Amino acid sequence: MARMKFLCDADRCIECNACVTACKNEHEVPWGINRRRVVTINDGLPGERSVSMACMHCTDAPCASVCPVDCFYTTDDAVVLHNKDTCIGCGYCSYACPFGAPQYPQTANFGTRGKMDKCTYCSGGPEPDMSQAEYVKYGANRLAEGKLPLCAEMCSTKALLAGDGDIIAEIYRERVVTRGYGSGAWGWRDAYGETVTV
Amino acid sequence: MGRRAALSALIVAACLSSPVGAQDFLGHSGPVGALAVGQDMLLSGGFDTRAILWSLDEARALYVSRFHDGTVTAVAHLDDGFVTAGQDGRIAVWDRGQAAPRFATPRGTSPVASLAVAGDGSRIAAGFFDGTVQVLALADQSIVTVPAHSDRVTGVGFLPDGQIVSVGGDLRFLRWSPDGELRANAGLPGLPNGLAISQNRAAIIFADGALRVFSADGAQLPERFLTDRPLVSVGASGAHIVTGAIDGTVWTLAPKDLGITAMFRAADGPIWAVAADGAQVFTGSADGIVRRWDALTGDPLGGERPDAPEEYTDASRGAEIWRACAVCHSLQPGDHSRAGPSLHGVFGRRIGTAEGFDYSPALQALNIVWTPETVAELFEVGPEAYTPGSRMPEQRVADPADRQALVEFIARATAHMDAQAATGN
Repeated sequence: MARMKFLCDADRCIECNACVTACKNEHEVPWGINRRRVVTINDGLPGERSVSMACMHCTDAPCASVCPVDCFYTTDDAVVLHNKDTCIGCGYCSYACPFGAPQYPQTANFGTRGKMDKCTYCSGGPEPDMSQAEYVKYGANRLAEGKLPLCAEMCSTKALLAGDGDIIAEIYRERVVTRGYGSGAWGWRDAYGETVTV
Repeated sequence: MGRRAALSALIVAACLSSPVGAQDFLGHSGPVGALAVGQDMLLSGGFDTRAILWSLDEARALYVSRFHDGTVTAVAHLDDGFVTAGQDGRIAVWDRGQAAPRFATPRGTSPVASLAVAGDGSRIAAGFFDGTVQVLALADQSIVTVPAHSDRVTGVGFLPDGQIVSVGGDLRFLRWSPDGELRANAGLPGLPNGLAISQNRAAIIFADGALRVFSADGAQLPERFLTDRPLVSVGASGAHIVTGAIDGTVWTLAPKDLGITAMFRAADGPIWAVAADGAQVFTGSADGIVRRWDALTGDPLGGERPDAPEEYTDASRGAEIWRACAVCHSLQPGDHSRAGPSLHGVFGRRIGTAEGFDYSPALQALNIVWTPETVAELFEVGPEAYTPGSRMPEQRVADPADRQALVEFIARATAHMDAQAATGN
């Protein structure tokens, strides 16, 4: 079974926000919630880098370790998902996440009504695959259709890679060797406890 | 540290040493997410919607507030009172000894994430989940709202000269003049989870496990990687910076060079709040107990604690489903309310009538008697449809067999507790 991961090559991201738009459109993510966002570090200064941030589906996910109702679970593909029927919207996972992934509806106080929402790696939730109930709560289940997350598919510079961790790490290694530089696979150490060695 | 400085530190530590027989603070019935220590009082806020003002020496609750409609997310002391802020987006300013706040801001649509009070006590700054920072002038109760960050504000603080520092999920460090004019804007290397002002600098904790210190201009000064787990709480006294991680580890560090003074295990789960005075460190965690520790050695100072009441459980499917309910509800008899009331003996009870619980007006206005059937119906359609307007988060149990298992478990737990009470065990 593949170990699915994201990899953001910050040397290639041009901050076009196509990943953000693709995600919102594919899953009909409501207003006020961005499952993916692009953050620019050192904006306008030497060393400027943009990174596309979302849930990285961490190994030993911090969100799961702090959830008081154990609503998180990890799929056979190592994707970290959550059950919105169980989530109480307490917000604790948002403090634990290194990537700011957990989002809450802004039309109400999340503690009283809203459920946490985050990237599903385009693989839905606990409801039956590709069912209407799954789509309404979690969005499209592209993995069940044999496809990869749309954000990475839509990335025009292929800065954002999705797929089996070993394969995308090898792609990144080849890039760094070919171009002669690389500022690192942003977030890999925090998410997966390892760096991509070149 | 020079010998004279070391001697001074020892004298200060001796003068501030903790009282003999000091206790931990027992009163919250859910995670404690906010702490502030004052001259002789401790203030705490929790998931159980309570803010509690404690006497520092005796660990006695002086005042318990359930003003906020949701979790109390941030607290701070004033010279003559205190401030609480919550998930309801409200900031409440309290005079000591008064049952109601002196004033409170209106209910908002975004929770307050962080809170700070200016050194002269004239202003309060609050950071919100929607990225705004509100500056509240206590003299005239005027509010200036600044659209500071494009993501959650994770920390605010006042520099000694009255300027405001804020950090947010947009990975920005901002500094504002007292009247809300942007003075500095710098990038951060990762996601900040909080800040504390220490010696005119901002000590910022990060989800990558690092504590980094920044100058008022946003220039990074010393940094220290403490762990590979996210740091989620930070506080500072004159002598120490204190931070806690999601695995229960706490560090006290020297502000100047971030040398580790003490490292200790304060809980099995996340340390959601820390506070420090010269000699003691206070920690708030998921079990609802505020514990006190020696800041220099990390030794526990709270003494022996009485065992928490045993929660009934069995290996049934109902017990498994109940685990999600147990965050907000107890099954103990009497007033054991958490964020929600105790469900001991719930069957046959009219809605909104459990002893000691402050129900929302919407729930009190309903006419439902809880039976296995009505509880099952509640989880079939969800509280939003069945008890509209209540504070209960939307929860559904889709499988009818699971709903049945849940109500049977609640009935078994009540019977078990009653039998225990009858036999005196």
